[in-house]
Amino acid sequence: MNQRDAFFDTTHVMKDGSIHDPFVIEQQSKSNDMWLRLYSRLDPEGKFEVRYHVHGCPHLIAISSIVISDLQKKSIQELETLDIREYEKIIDLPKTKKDRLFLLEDAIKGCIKHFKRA
Amino acid sequence: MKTYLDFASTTPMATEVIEGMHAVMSEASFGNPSSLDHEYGIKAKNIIEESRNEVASLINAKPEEIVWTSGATESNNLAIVGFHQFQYKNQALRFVTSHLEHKSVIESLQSVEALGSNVSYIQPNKDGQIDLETFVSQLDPNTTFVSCMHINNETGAVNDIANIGKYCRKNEIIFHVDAAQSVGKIPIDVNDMCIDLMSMSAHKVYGPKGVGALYINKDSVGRVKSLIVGGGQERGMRSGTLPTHQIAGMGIAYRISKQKMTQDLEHIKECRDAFLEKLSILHGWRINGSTDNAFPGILSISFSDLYSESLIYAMEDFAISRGSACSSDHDEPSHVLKSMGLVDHEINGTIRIGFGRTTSLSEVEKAATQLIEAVTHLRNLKGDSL
Repeated sequence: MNQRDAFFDTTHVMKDGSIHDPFVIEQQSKSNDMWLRLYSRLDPEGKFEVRYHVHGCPHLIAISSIVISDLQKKSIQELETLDIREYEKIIDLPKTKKDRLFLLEDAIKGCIKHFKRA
Repeated sequence: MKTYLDFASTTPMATEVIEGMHAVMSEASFGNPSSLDHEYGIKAKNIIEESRNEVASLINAKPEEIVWTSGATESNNLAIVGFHQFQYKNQALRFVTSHLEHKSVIESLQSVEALGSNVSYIQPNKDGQIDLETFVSQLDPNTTFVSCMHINNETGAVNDIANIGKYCRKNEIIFHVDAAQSVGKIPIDVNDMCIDLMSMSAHKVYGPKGVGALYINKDSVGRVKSLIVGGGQERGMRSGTLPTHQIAGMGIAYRISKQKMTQDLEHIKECRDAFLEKLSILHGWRINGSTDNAFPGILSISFSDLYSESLIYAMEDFAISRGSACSSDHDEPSHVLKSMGLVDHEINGTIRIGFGRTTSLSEVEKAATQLIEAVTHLRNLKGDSL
């Protein structure tokens, strides 16, 4: 998926009707007025499913869309080995916008931590 | 190519301008307009003077009151720094301006401030205009120079130049107007408006980039000190070989603007009104400034819940901008919008749309439709409903 397609893609955006159930685990990270909110759950086979809301620049929107698409149906172990920096080349993330990746990384780590605790 | 809706930033050159410039470059008018010993130079000089007449005619000035520059930025520098250097060498003066001004005015004033002069900044009202009362309250008997822009480049707000000018003239204060956004778009009469110095640009009115002019009232100011020294062109106020083809382009652009001003203004107003009518189904936006006393070709709209950068990205078929072209590549929030009382998230959510002579109503309709779609998409991404 290129940056433009990712920016407009809404496949894994949390729809209004499904906010409270079944995606109950919410992780939010914020930076400079931009934010990313993840709603996640583990399916019966222990695979990760995630939806999101995002607010920010086109790069944050696009990278969130791409990464979250890739996270679907991954196991917790797979999520733990994910190297978020590999994605920066996909959308040619400017150097000044590297913090968008950290925002995404923080939210994903928050989800992993929660599921491991549970 | 995207449809161009950023006419406040620059305008496409009119066909007549391109043809006129091309003719000048192709014909035997390539001579140096200062070389009057042969026909090449004389021919170039004649073109320069014809264009000077066109510029003067548009603003009701005398041709000898027009000095060619590289554009409005240089004109602003020359008007402020050149005035200070020539008229009041080594003296501290009191300048008054507003927070609305272009950076070329503000930074020119900062440079005279560094030489010991004093500069006061007037706060605009919530519509981004200078209230006459506020303006008068900022002046004192020591005020020597006032600089005020005519049309604001970010909001389109129009200042009451005629009344500010009359007040300045009555109180023997030199009045400089940055008319980069207004000349050729709305009527200007430098005599009726009591203007002493006025900065002009060609590329904002379908002329070429890299050329502009400074109007210098012969009776009240007379001269400014050249900031560029050398050959002594332009009566010693601006050295450098004159670019005949660019000046010819500016002359043609100004002549056309004079002919089409009423028609252009009506058309642009129609575009703005159609755009706003279509946008009225959306909630959560506001115009920065007002549609009254504003030039309809510049529309500054704030979506305080959204990021303008994402809105612009989502408007994939249209070339629009965040704000001033001079500051949209910087991360600093607009000093103009800040001075009007907008907070950071309102500024971050501001887009500027510019309509012009070549904008069609169907483009306006499509732009409004795409903006509605963009806003809907971004609000969906946030989890907000329309």
